[in-house]
Amino acid sequence: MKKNPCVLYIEDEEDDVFFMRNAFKRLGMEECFHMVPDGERAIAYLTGGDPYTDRARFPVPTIVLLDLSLPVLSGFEVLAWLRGHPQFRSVPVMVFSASVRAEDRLRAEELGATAFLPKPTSGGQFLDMVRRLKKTWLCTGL
Amino acid sequence: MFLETIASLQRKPVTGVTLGLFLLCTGLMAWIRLGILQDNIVSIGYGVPLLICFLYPDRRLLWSLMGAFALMGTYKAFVAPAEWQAEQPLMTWSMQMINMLVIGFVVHLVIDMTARLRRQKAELLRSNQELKERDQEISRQNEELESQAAELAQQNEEIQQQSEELQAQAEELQRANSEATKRQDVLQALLDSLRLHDSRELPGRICQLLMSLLGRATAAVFILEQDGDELVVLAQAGAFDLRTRRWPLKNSFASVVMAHNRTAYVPDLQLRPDLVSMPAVAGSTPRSVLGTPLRLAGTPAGVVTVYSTVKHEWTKEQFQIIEWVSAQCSLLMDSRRLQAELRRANSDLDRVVKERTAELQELVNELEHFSYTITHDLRAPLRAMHGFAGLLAEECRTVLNEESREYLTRITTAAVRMDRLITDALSYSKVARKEMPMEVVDVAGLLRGMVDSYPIFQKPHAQIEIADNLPLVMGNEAGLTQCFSNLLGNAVKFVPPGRTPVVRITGRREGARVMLWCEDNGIGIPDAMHSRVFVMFQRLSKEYEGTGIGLTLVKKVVERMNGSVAIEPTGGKGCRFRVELNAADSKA
Repeated sequence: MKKNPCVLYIEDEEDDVFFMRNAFKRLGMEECFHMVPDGERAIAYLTGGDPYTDRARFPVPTIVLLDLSLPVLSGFEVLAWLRGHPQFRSVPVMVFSASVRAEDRLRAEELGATAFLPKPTSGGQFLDMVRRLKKTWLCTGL
Repeated sequence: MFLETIASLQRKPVTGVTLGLFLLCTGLMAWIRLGILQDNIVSIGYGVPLLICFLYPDRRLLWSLMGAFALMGTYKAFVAPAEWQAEQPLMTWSMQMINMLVIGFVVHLVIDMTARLRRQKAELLRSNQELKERDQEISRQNEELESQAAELAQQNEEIQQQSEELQAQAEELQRANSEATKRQDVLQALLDSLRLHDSRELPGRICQLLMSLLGRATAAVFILEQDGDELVVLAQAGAFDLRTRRWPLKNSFASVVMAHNRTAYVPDLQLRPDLVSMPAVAGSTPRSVLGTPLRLAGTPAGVVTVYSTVKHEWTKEQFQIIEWVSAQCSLLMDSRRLQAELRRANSDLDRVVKERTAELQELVNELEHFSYTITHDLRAPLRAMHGFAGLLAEECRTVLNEESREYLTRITTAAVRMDRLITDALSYSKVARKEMPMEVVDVAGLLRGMVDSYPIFQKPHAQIEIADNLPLVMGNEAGLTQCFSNLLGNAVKFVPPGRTPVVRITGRREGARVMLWCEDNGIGIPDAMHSRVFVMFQRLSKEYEGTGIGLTLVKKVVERMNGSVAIEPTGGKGCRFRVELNAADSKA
């Protein structure tokens, strides 16, 4: 059974969420954009825990966009959890961070990140990025 | 005189005398024979004159006389007138001749023997003389030997004397040696005491040492310390028992010693009732005392006293020993005190260093966290500003007038600038702190790689010429990349509009260093501004974008690689930067 593509954006920064959502809206893919504001809720979403029990409203993501600096559970911990979980071991995870530290990038790659994307600085760049994502990962069913 | 002449003539005949005697004898005989007795025949007559040769032993005279007499006889017998001749002349002549010959021959023999005898006598005399001389020689040599023997005896005596002196010196030396050994033992004991773990044992050891050094006269040794108005026993050795270990200083022997600050003694304490004696129990009453000040840090802080239970005149040697021990004791106690202080100070220092290091580490961690916060949290609202300004400009394009759009552009530019400032400042602080391992770097290869990866360094945007013969340098690849990306970036950025930037990189080796030049055809920097180009946030042109950090970063990164960077005057035609680094094969 082929699922509809679904993106889960794990991000606490509201502005970034706004720009990302805006970019998806611009490309007419708003219904496949989902977000959670921290690591704990990300895990709840992924495992279908409360309040994300309704899989129709909160489908299992085909791709995860992950910020590194998150409250409670950090992005690295979420990544490690994902890679340790049999269901999500092969889900593409784009680490999406404003960090310019090489060691952050290295650590993310070691933990199994699919790609490391620097955070864009303008709305236009968000749009370009989502366009590239769509072309690479989300073409099924759209 | 006359006799001597005769004797001399007898030893050696003289021709004149011989001739005279010959003429005399011949004349006399001729007168007698031919004058007086012409017709008489005297048969024996001719032999008699020959006898003169006994007295004058000359054989020439003998034979010439015989010849003359023979002629005379022959004449008288055969030639003379007949009346003179005898009846049988031949017979007579023969008798005469035989007679004369016999006598002459005998005389000849006698003379010959006499001469031989005389020669032998002379020989004997000569050897006798020689013997005498030898005898004298020997006696002289004897005398010499005797005088030499006397000298030897004297020398022997001297040697004996010297030997005695040496013996005395040797004994002296031995005494000094034993003294030195004793002192060495003391020193060794004192040094050993330094190694005691408990420094409180030290004075006790010194007391025991002093006891053993001073010999039988000593009954007890004390080290007393002044404590305000009182004396306190710091240590003791010997058989004295005290009622208390603390008594007043006033009027005590110790106070006298300390007041005069020198060694003193009392041979009999019973004669000094003015001195307050120590509180000794009955049976161990001190009778005589020797004391020397114990100096701590140069001033008397106590005394070292030695007691005897009998009257005693303390010797010079004992003075020396107690003074010496006291001095060593002072030194040791001082050094122990200093050592303890030093140890305390050291441990304090250690603690402080550890604390400070920990504080510093904490600070570094905080700084690290702070820079991360800057990157992440500070830049987030900036990105939002930038993003929303962009959205506004795009989505509300139609409702905004020209002026509002200009404002939005300015907001965007300011946000971008702020973002770059933050990034540059961060990379500067990273350069300043980051480890920079040194390695051999091929600058030419590195530059070509940079030109290949950035389109702004390629034609038609710019023309970058890299010399073929750039020497290898000792540096850090990441650092050098940062350095040249800034220099090249500036070179292609600061050009007048419409001009294609041309940058030339050259270099050469100078001793252990490598010089690299980066020359451009840009707007240049006035010579007056050269001193300020490497100062942070110092921007020299408002018409070009920049944060004023780039060249500061270049300077920092080059200095971290033990190099230097400078700007050289060009007379206003572009810029020329000189980067100096260690050559690849230099030690640094």
